[in-house]
Amino acid sequence: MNEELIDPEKLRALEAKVAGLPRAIHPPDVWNEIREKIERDSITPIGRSTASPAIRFWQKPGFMLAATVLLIASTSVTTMIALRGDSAARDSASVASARPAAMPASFLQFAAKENNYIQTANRLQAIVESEGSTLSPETVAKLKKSIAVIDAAILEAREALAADPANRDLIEILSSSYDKKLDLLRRSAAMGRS
Amino acid sequence: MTAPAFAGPGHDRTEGDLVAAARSGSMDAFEAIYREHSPKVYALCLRLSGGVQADAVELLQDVFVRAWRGLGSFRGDSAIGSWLHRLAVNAMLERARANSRRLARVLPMEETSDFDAPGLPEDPDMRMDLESAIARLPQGARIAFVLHDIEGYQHQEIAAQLGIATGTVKAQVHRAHKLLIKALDR
Repeated sequence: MNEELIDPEKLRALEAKVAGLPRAIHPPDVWNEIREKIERDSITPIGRSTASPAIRFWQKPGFMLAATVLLIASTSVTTMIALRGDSAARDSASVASARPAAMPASFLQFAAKENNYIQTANRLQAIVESEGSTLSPETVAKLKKSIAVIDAAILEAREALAADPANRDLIEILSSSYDKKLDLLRRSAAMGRS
Repeated sequence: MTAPAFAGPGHDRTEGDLVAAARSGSMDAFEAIYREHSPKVYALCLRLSGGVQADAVELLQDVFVRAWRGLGSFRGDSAIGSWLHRLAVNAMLERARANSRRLARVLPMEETSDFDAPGLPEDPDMRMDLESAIARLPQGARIAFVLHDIEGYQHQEIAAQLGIATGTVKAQVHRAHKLLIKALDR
């Protein structure tokens, strides 16, 4: 690293020039493109119901809960592998589940995102609780049980990560668990409204 | 297309009102947010993209699509402008990763040349303007400089956002200062 000192006078002159830079630059008007993309992709803000309340097969409670059980099983196995440090098994698990492109690259990045995960989950949970009356009591009970199991998996991975913050597999597991929890909550909220 | 219902004089709804309306699905409210904030977000996108307008426009679109998708997670305890800025930085970093440039390679201290782009003015009378000089900084130094010196982030905030050491951020900002002073002295 080059620690060569900078002439303070020149640095001040640079800072003065920087202070004079415009903070706003009018872009080409791309609103129509943005709107089209949002509409084409049928993107819905989290927490808002979709225009079409029709339930698809993957939104049905049975499918969702089965997927959750699968998630929990795979999360537990992968956590066990990561904690055991079995490199061969870890490699094989990595091949089986591709790392999403947006996965945090480091513990610091993950820590910065974790607060958002928690806030979003809390908000969705509130929606599910307020709108859960439209779901059958059995479904609500199963959802709560599934979420509790995911929370336990999150806690387990979180504790392991606290002891080994450089373990990227744990970061991936934890991040993925949060994603799955949010996904489950979103679908639960959507079911509650439908 | 009709004009956004929230735009223009006479519509003195607060930012909070606009966010709440957009969150509940009002595209007009979201357009008003776009109209208000896109110039500042675009300035950031343009600088992070090294002055390449096409990249900056693409990034701007990406930011607002992400913003629409993520409005529910916007807690409202910071200004929406700051939130949009964070989205822009995250989107830019994800693009860098998608291009197979690991962050560690995006932000090293050792880079082959002082400036990314060729064609620094040979004529000593032809002074480079600051925007051009920033655009030509190596990517790591440029990101750190733009976020720290222009956008006003602290070293620690940048480090947390980029997932790198605070010392690396400081070194990159220092490097940017040296290169810019050198370029502007030409």
